[in-house]
Amino acid sequence: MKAQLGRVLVVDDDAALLRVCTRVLGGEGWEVTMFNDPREAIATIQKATQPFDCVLSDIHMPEMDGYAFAAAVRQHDDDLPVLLMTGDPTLDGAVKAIDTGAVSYITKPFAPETLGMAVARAARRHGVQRMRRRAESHARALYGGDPQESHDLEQRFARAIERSWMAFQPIVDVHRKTVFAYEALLRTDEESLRRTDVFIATAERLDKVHLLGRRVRGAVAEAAQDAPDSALLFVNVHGLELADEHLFAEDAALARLAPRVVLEITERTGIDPAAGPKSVAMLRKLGYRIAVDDLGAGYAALGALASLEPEVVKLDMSLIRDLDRHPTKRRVVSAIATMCRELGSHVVAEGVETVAERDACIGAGIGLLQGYLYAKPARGFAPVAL
Amino acid sequence: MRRTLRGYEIVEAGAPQEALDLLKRKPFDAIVSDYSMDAESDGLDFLQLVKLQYPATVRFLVTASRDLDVAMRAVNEGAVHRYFLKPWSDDRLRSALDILLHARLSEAAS
Repeated sequence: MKAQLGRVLVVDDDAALLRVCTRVLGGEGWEVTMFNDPREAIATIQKATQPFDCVLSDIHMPEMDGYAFAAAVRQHDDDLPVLLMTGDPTLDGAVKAIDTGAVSYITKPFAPETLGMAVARAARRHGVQRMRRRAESHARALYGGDPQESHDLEQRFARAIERSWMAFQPIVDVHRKTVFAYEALLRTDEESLRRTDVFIATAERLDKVHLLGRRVRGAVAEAAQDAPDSALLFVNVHGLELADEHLFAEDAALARLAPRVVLEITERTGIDPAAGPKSVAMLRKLGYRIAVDDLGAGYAALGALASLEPEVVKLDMSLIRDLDRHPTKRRVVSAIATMCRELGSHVVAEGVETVAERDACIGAGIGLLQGYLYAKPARGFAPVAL
Repeated sequence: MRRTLRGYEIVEAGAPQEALDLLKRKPFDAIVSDYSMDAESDGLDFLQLVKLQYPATVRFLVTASRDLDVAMRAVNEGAVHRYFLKPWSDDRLRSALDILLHARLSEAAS
């Protein structure tokens, strides 16, 4: 039995659709609990000892419609994401979905991938939300008073920056049996911001994304002195950093290493569609190469393939997970890999954890792999046994 | 709009960049944005950016568009709290804003 991704509750008066959802989501690694009566579902949510990560509901149901159901769920737990499905999408329906706080409006029939992605996205958001709350209540316990108070948050953030360091994770070339590159990953010893997504969300909230980015680039440049010459360095760039002139400064520490640096850009963080390609052209002029990160995590990154013409494309781990067991996923991944090669991009698979996933990646034509199978992110540049 | 929102301090911005500059200078509790913009971006892109940078801000979109795809994007991208089709009811917009802002305040105080 593989590790479960989390718990999803599904409500639909149509038994056939319940089975489809269970098969699709169960196959991806979610633990699915089904109901055909929304009232029973609510009772279960209320007394659940193990919380659900998200709730998926049909809109047209005889006992109680999806909107009323979503409102009832959110009354119990405002953070629990609700996804609504309908075979009859309408403008008013979508507006009503927003009013009830639904995070997704899915039209039936849907492709299995669509459902899988929507659920994964909702659950991930929920996770971040929960972390935020936990960090806030932690802060409340420590400092008392208003957790929103920016003073406290700023102090924690300043400490987190001060105590930050870079971990490196190898990306291996399985055919040449070499380390192709190391990805630099932000870490901090400040307890309340230890989760990188929370750390970055805090930077966004305090409007300090630029500050954080400068710190990261400085730290990578410093650490790079110990990096093996043959390996490239992958450095993450937040979409908002494309507006920071420091990133484009020729005399910045990282710019001196530009020819061996690949900047990873993810569209999740909101690249300005108009300014993005221009910024990227300037970065290339400095010698940097560009990677589009997390392809497959949402539906946004495809646009970046066309507009940014990246040298490297990284496939999100949600596409790689259990690749060996999902023929459909393999076809999707293999088609993306072929397309990327035709566009002249190298393809990296992220999150490779098992030998079977590695072999499936190689079978799909991907030779650059990153994941726990090879090494976890760690201080320094550990050699990899290949 | 000014009449609808009487009692609140209102600041107007003619373009997304102008609004982002204002946000950088001082905090706002809520933003009401039109969907149609002159530039290449639209109101949803703008509110998405606001959500990233100022997640605590209440975000409303108003639009004359009857395009289902726009409304679906609004749900699925999660950048707006309320979506108003023109012509909207001033009372509903006002009360939705009052309720959401009140909820934020009491949450922060608890």
